[in-house]
Amino acid sequence: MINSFNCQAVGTANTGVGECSLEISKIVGFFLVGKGFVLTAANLATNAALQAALIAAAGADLKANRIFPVHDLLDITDNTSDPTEQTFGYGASVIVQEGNYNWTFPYLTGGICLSNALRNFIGNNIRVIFYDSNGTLFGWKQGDTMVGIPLNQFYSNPWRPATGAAVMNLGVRFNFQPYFINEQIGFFKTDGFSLRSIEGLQNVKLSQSGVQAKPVYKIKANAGCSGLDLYDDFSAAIASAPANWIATNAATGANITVTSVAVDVNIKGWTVTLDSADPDYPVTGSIFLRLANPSVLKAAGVPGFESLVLTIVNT
Amino acid sequence: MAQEKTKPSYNKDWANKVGESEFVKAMIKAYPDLTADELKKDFAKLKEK
Repeated sequence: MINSFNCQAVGTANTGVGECSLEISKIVGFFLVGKGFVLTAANLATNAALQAALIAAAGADLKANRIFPVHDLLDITDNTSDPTEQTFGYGASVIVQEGNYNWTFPYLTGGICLSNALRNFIGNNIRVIFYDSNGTLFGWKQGDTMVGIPLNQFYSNPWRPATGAAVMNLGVRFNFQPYFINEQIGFFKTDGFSLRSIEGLQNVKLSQSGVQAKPVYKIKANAGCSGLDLYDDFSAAIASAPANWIATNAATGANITVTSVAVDVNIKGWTVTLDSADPDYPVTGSIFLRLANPSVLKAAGVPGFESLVLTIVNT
Repeated sequence: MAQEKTKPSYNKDWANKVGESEFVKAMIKAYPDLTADELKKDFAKLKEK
């Protein structure tokens, strides 16, 4: 229709308030998530469903489906930009555009190990879901689901040394548009479980130890930055089935049959035996050996770990 | 005190593909504290399952 302005009527949103309101308290943790990560309506139906979904996602075999929890944030430095304002010659001023959120959170738990892990996400297309000290999880509402907040930038600061007055400085920074957590905020007030209890996976580093006599390999496993020896707590569980180990031909990617595994008390590790008759077994060449996926390890009684790949060179 | 003997977990699918002698030959190299008779018993148990 000609000369139609299609004006929005005044009063499309009422401003009365009920007994409850959403107030975000101190932000004490976050989950880094991939672009495709979604908490579905079913996941958000109950506390138990949400807890199960977060635990499953924190230990997901596929990194694309995994969430990366970070807890124990200690403070916030809010460097959110002020709105850009234009003042006219007659004195009136208007907001031209809003500033972006720019939050930096210091933390100590995890130290440089966590800092280095987080620095791996710099430049990635990563998103975030935050939670506050009252257990309110909040992200970007999409229909009746919640997804991660798209970021202009995620950054993990290089650590700074302690001084006589302050401990070492570790911080992580988020820059994003206000839209996602204002008009489009999605939240869930948890009750009955703590978001702090959702733990991320730890890397496991495998190494060869003792006498190697192909196709029999002596392997040790140490976890996390501290090098925790998995033998102490999980020797029997890791040796409970050959399926807890994956061997592949480094050149072709083809799986090599693991014929047996056993605890080796002498090296505080495991004897892993491969099938030298397997056509994919390289008599000379490299083998990639790792523990099975996190879900397999969890089922075997070794929860919370993901194995890095050990390259074994047969000469 | 004598060290406890190794108790390997075997790949049953693989064991079902190979004969007893091949099984014993491969495993005795991996676990020299186990005798051929013990490995034969392990092999027989795998076949029973």
